[in-house]
Amino acid sequence: MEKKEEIVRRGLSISSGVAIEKAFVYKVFKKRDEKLQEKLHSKSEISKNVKKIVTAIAHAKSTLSLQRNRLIGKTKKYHLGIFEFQTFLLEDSSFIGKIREQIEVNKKSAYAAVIAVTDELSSKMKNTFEDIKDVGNLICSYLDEEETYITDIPEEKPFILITDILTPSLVSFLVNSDVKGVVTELGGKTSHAVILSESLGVPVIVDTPDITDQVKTGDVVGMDGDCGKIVINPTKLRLKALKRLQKWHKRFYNRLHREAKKYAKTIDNVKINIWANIELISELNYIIDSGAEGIGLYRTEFIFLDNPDRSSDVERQYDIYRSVVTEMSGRPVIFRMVDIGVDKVPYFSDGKAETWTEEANPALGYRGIRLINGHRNEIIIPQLKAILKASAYGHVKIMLPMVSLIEEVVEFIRLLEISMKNLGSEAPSRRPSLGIMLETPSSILLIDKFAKYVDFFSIGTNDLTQYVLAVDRNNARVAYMWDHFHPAVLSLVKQALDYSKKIDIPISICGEAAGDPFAAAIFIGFGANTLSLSPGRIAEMKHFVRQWDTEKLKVLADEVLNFETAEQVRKFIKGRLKVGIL
Amino acid sequence: MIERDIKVVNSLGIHARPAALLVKTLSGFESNVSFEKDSLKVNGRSVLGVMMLAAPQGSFIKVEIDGPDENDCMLAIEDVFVRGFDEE
Repeated sequence: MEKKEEIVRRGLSISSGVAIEKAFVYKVFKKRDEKLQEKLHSKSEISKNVKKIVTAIAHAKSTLSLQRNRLIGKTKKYHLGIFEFQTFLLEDSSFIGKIREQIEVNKKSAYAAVIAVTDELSSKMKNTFEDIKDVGNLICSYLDEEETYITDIPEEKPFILITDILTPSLVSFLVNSDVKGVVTELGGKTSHAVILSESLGVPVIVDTPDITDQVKTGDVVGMDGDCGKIVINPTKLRLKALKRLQKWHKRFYNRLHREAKKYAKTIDNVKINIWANIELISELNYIIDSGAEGIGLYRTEFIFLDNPDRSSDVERQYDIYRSVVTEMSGRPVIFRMVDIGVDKVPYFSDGKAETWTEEANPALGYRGIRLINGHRNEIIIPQLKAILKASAYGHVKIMLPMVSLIEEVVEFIRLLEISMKNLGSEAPSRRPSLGIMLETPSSILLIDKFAKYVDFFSIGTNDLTQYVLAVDRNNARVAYMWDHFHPAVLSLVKQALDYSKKIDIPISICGEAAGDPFAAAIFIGFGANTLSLSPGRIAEMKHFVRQWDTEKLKVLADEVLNFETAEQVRKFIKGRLKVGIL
Repeated sequence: MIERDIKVVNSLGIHARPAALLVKTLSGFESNVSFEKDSLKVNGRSVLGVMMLAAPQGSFIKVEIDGPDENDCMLAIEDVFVRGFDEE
């Protein structure tokens, strides 16, 4: 057998980890040159190609939404925005116009026209060239049946992808494959596809020019994502070293993931419940896999944002809620009643758009549970009924957002009882427990009064910070003030935890701070025992919890309250608490 | 018709995602909107056009709006700019 020469390359490391697998080389750009030479000769050929473009664009659009959905829950929402851009591009008449012009005036084939236009555009748009070329490839994949666009990715076989360019659609296909690593010729830390690739959880190295020419499909490739090294056809000795490194890495991450399925107890044997926040139903499998012991915050807004004209459709909501409750098989699910306001949603009634009265200050305006006054029959009662019906299938709790007055809770309980009665045989045998979000200063200042009416509390640190510091984090001029380490915020959190402990009422913390290990440590020091966080952070959080000692955290947390500024708190806690993966 | 110069504050400037966010913002309004920079004037509803402005951080875009909901539309656009297109 011919001995292949070892080649060592270095690139820019994006995600860590070690992989040793056979390469699968995929050239997005390099295999289509001959197709670009085709010319059209007759009028009928031209009109046929124009028709092909229209169909291909329609197909491309539906593929984009499919690809976007595959990544939901696996990456930050912000990054999904790139699919929005690509969709708008496909809808843009000037984009389609340019392609038509290439066909009709320059007599290019539909295929060549798309490539010409996207190449021209991406040469002008340096930052987003991958995203634009990706759209071109996507359209082309529907123009030609022979086109192998991404579909020849190995199925059920592990591989390292070696490609000239990583595109968002390539990533969305990789999500469901057995890819073990990704190496690309182009790309930098900020390109969208590269950011999306973090969701794959495999080592990624970019910026290795001409690597698709150096590697052949089937060659063995070893890569170390921690330092950006790639070894093609490694020697025996090198292979051994790589394998040892890989083993070490695997053992550690496997342990992290495996242990996420178990409860997290601190060194001194205090159990900390780790729950998940969920927004989209497509995140559900991810959540079940993450080791979450329940859903501490089910944000129901998307149901109203996606399909506002069906806000009052009980059956539609019931179907969605029931599947969440059933899938969680007995583990608790806290439904938060919809928290929308003027700033978020167009509201429809009887199929007609109704404009909300405009507000100068939506954060302090008509939103959350306050809808109980103006949209009782359109929004509140239908949602309540849907949740009640779903609660027959598992462990359901109901939570109210933006509560600031006792009257709101009293009125909601009245509606809850009426709805139970009206549902008749469809009502659950027992009323689900009811809780409120503690996110306004008044809800915590009057916590002893609220406690008489409800069964549990959950501290929403995001809004609490906003209302305690009187700062709108979406306002760029004052956003710097928003900080959940502010002693005023922490002091209220402690007050709520202390009181709840005293009267023995369950309390959890959701909001971004619960997923921040430094803030979480302070909360545990204050006595918190339930945190609800985004599912991607659960394995690590449990790992941290197991290294902590609540007595020591208590000492740190007490000291935190002596500080005057958020900056001091942050500096102190980061200096005193070790939070590391290893 | 109203017009205003708005500053690009986010560090990456106007690229694909901000362009998409602007087009999306406009979808709720009826008015005609155009953006102009360095004598290049584009239709605000064309994601391609908006991106072609290639406006970096610190540059100004002249926003021109004409239609029944021009004032609301301007407020919405300003808001998106001020938020730095939700850049992270």
